[in-house]
Amino acid sequence: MKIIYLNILKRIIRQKHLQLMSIIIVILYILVGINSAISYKNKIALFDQAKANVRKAWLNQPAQNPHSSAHYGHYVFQPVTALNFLDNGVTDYLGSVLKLEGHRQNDAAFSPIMNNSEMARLGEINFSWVLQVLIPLFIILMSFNSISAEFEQNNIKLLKSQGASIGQLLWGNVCSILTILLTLFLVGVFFIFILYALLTKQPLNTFPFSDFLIWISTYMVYFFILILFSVIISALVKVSKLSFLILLSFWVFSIIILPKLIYSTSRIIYPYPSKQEFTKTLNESRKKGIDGHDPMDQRAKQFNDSLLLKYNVKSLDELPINADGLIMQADEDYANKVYDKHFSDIRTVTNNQNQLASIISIINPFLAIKNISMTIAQSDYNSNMIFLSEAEQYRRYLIKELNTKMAYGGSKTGEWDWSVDVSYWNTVRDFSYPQAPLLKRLSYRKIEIISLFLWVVILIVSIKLIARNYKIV
Amino acid sequence: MFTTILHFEFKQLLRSKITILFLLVFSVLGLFSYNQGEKLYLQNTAIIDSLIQKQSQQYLNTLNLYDTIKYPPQGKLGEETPYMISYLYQVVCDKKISPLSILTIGQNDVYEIAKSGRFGINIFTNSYTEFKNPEQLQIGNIDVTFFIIYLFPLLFISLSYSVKSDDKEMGRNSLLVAQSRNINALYFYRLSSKLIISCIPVIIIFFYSLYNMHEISDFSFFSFSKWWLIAIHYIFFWFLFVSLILKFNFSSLNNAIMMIGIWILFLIAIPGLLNTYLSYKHPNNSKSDIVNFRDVEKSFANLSFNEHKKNVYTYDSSYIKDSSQHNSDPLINAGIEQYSSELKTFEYEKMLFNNIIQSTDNKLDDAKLAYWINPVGCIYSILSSIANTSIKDQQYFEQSVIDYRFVQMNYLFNNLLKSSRFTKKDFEGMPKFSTANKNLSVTKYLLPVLLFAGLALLGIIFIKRTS
Repeated sequence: MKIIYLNILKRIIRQKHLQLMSIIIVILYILVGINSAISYKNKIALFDQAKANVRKAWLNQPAQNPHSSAHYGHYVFQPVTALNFLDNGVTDYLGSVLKLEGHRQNDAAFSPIMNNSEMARLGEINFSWVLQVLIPLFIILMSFNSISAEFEQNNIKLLKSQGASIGQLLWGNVCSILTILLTLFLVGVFFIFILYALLTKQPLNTFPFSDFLIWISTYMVYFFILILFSVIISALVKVSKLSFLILLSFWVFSIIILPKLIYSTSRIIYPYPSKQEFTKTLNESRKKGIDGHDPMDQRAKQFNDSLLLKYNVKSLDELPINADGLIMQADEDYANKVYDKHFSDIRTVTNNQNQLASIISIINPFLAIKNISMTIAQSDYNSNMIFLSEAEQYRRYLIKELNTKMAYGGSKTGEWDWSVDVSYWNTVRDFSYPQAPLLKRLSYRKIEIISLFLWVVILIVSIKLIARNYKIV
Repeated sequence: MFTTILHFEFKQLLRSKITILFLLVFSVLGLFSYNQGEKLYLQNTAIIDSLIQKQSQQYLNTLNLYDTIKYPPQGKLGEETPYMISYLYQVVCDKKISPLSILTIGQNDVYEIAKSGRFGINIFTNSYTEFKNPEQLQIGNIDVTFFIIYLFPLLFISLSYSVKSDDKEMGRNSLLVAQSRNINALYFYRLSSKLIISCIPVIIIFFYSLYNMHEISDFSFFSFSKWWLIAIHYIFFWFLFVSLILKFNFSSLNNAIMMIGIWILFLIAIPGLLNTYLSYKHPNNSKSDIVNFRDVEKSFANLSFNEHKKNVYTYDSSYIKDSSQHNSDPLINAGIEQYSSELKTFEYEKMLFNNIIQSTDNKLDDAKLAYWINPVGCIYSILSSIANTSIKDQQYFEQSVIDYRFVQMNYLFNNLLKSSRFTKKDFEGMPKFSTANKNLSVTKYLLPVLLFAGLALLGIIFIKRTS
């Protein structure tokens, strides 16, 4: 086994086109690494600057009514995580700025893709792209003739006569290709990490090493699957030309065609309502609640009456508190329920669409690794949803805080000119986003994880079966 | 000889179940890709129709309001103030969606197809952004352009990589050389026949799209033909490249590796690397600017009355003659303050928008330079431009929205500041939004593709290899 392994290893290393491709991949690692590091550094700088600016703007508000501040609002931005550097996932397609304000829940706006030309849709190259798309091609080139060449050159009988079993030949090929590939992969990881440390100048003690190691391990499993699959195809087909075409078709189908087909189909099966339709239903639902800005509103009147009863006074002017603040908050509480319901419907549609892709990842390891990689790097849709949910919780805290200040801060009902002291703004805490733990994030990718596991098991069993039943004709 | 070979190739095709299956699968994929484009087009036009219908209803309601309006006493705010009018009649600016966007979705799934035409709502407000799945956007669309650009070359390669090498590998080569016919002509005709066979799904899509699209009201046969001419040009480009590789007389396997290598290089590696480089060279940094918009807008509203007045007079000196009235009428005073704030806000908005356009132009200039090494990107951009789904088309639309909002604002404030009352006639005379798709010149970008095709042609002519 050891001799077979070493022989195959030597044969592969000597192939000129593979040497050339290895050099191209290493050059790509360096180019992509430099680009990712600089882009990551810029993103971090922009994020820090924007975050500091909005906090400064919040603190620099003049003495004014808290409700004016609720309308003035606050901006939040999804943090750029360290592993975004390896896989920026769908971040370019997500809104980059989210305005939090009273009375309404906004969508995040200004996705970077909107400022890009149509050419951007042809894709960008980053480290995860090299690993997901290019390395599989390299694997195909290394393995399409791994077993078939032995047949074509009539070496198989010779090997058999020397006591080598088919199983040893299969595993010898798998192990030697895996050795080369892991070397190339770990070289890439080394380069990329060095570039991260040198160019981004981020403190390494904040780097999520455990997430990074899991990310690396997942890619190793992906490569292992592809190597097993390619070697099996080469063994079954026995003709190099045909084996190459089959593997290449698999690559094109899995990476180029199937993902587009799935997402296009999912859009048909689970369509979104139109924004107009959505806004109409949302507004209708909202009208059923209290209108915080309309004292003539029937529900607002009922609310006021309940306050009069509670404080045992006859008119709103006699209340020791500002009823407007409480009405505003009652309006918010109702609106929050409405938003929760309607936005959750939209998220269900998106989740259903993405779920279809997850299910298809059972037959397509590319989709599985793509989704897991994005999830670990926190650049997928679910990570964005976790962020948006945290941002919404903060919006609710912020508006409640402002309404409470208006209600109990010392003003009377109807005193819209009443203002809080400038020192008050500092008492409102800033938005901080505790990043979701890896396990919670990975819980959204159960199907993909199971898919990779199943692929490994099925392919290992297949190799064992082939080794047992292989006929040398 | 060509007809004989074509006849032979078609007979071979009928004998090969795998090839028929391939053609069937590709034809189905082609029709599916057309269907995807059509779905998005119909969805977008339905949304626009519904918005326009709502707008027309608002127009009628507001018009009727002027029949019964009871103007408040002089100097009091009523329903005829600019903000109220723009609220009652909310103009929607719709992008003219070209029927050719069925063939090239381009960035149409990312951009907004309608914008608010209210003067107080800036261009960066995304009121009409439809719900989108970011994961789907990242994966991209399967449209006819994708089919032509990505899938057609694969089909052609799969049918033709062994046109020449098979004869050599099967030992038929010496027999063919012994024939009196020119062997190069024979292979050229065989390759041409393979091209015709590979084009079957393309021909199906062409007729299917023509049949379905000709009934669309703003369908332009000229643009449609232009689109397909570019597509044919691209097909011819691949024909030349495949011919060039076959000229090297490699084995079938090496031919396949070479052809797929070129496919990956042109369709994945070069566009990907260029996009990465362009993102690095021209990063998007509008985040802080957009956030600052809120504070800048607020700061304008906080100017003193005299500063507002000065600002309005600087913009339009004809208001100076009414200056005596501007100190007495509170409604006019409020109007001056609002008008001045809006003018300042517009100035800032236009500055931000122009910065974005400038940054895009710089990026596009670099992208155009790169067409010399990126023929596929060049073809993709040309097809998007013909289908009006490019970024320049979107920016042209957004620019016309800003221009319209500015005209609308001037009209409304001019009425407030110069006339005593805003009447039904004034409302009827309100400027209307109209835009047409700008026909961007695309043919000049074809030069890089022609260069590549020319190089391939020269290679075919001058490379001499013995079989």
